[in-house]
Amino acid sequence: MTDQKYDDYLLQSLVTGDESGIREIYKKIYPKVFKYVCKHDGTEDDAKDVMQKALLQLSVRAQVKEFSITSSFEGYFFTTCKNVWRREVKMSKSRVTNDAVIDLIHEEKEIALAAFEQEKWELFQEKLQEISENCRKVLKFFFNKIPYAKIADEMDYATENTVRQRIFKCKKKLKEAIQSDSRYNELKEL
Amino acid sequence: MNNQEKEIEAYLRGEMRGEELRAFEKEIATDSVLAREIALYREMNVLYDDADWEITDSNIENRKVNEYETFLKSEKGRSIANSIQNVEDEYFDSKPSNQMRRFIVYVGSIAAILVIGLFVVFQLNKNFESENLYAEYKNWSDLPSLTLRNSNTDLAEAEKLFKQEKYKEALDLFLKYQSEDKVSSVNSQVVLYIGISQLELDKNEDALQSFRALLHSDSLDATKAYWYISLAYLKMNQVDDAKEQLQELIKDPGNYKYETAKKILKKLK
Repeated sequence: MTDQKYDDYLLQSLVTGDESGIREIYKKIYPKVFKYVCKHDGTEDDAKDVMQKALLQLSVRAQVKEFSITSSFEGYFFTTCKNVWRREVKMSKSRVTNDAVIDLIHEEKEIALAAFEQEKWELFQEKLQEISENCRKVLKFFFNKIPYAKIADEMDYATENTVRQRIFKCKKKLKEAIQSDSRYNELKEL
Repeated sequence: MNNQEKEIEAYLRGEMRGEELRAFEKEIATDSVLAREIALYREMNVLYDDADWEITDSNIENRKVNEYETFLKSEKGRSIANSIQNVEDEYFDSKPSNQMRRFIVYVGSIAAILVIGLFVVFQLNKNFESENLYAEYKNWSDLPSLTLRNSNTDLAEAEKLFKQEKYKEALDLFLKYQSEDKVSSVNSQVVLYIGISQLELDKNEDALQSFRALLHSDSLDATKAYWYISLAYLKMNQVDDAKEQLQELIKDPGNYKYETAKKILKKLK
């Protein structure tokens, strides 16, 4: 089997629920997920949970014919798993910090929401590729909360104010790119 | 930057206070374009932060979310969820983690020491129980998994029950599978599971019969039967019969458990 065919086979196994293909995905990718989750303060049970949720989420999304993966299956799926873990961490944090009672939602709803969020995240990542490399670099620093002074240093800008201006311009460009994409409208509230 | 852009920046960074903040919030409430813009900037702040994740309000009304949820609740969605669960169960049953493996080696060496210890006891007071040997050497966890080669769900279920040591339920399912299996007259792996389940249920004679059926089949695994028949005899305290089987086994160094059989024979002498 060529790589592409093999990847198609793995994805297709999730569309139909074919156990032999799903088994391959476990064998190939679970050990990495386990390592990743454990490295990021999770347990083995967390890793199992992440794996299950990511598989289910991808299965749901892949039910539509237009769905396709442009990178390798393994790379794509591993990214999904990382995001599922980020989601779990965020959820448990908000459970701890929020006094408000968080509605217990059904598992199906939760997977549906996670799939929706993943889709949006992918769209946003794709849009990031449409702005200039320089903008992308500045924004990466900015969104990951690197102080202006440090950004000025790294990117060779004279003052923090120049950085501010640059960030604003880049953010605006990125915002426009996202807004003009029709898929973004589908990912909003009705 | 025009004025409104400056305001948006200040607002997003939480630098607005008092009257200014109230006025701007009022503006957002009445200007839907501005509101959407702010919402998108907020989304960007979260979505592009590698350490963060945007959790959607569960009350969201969105076509995609609804479709996904409906699918998950459908029969097909549930059956896929089931398949994933099955694979997970099986994957973690058959794949001990590294730690587990180390544990098994550790327990294995303790078992070996115990066997040697028992041997000494035997030499001293001639009170050796072959059942102990059986207990030390039976290791069902190294049986090949059935579901790897066959996705028959009955078999998967039976194997699961077997691993949970629910031998009676497992045996029923295995026998049912075997009686329905028209493809191969003897599925050697299933026969092994049947024999061992019978052994665990103290149906020793049935077990012997199953293993003998395997021995006389033309399966590649046929000679494995020597090992299991020996174990059965050890369990039944029929040491001489066990020895006889082990002697057969060590005639061919390619046989399953050749080294172990030699070891046991030495101890039984």
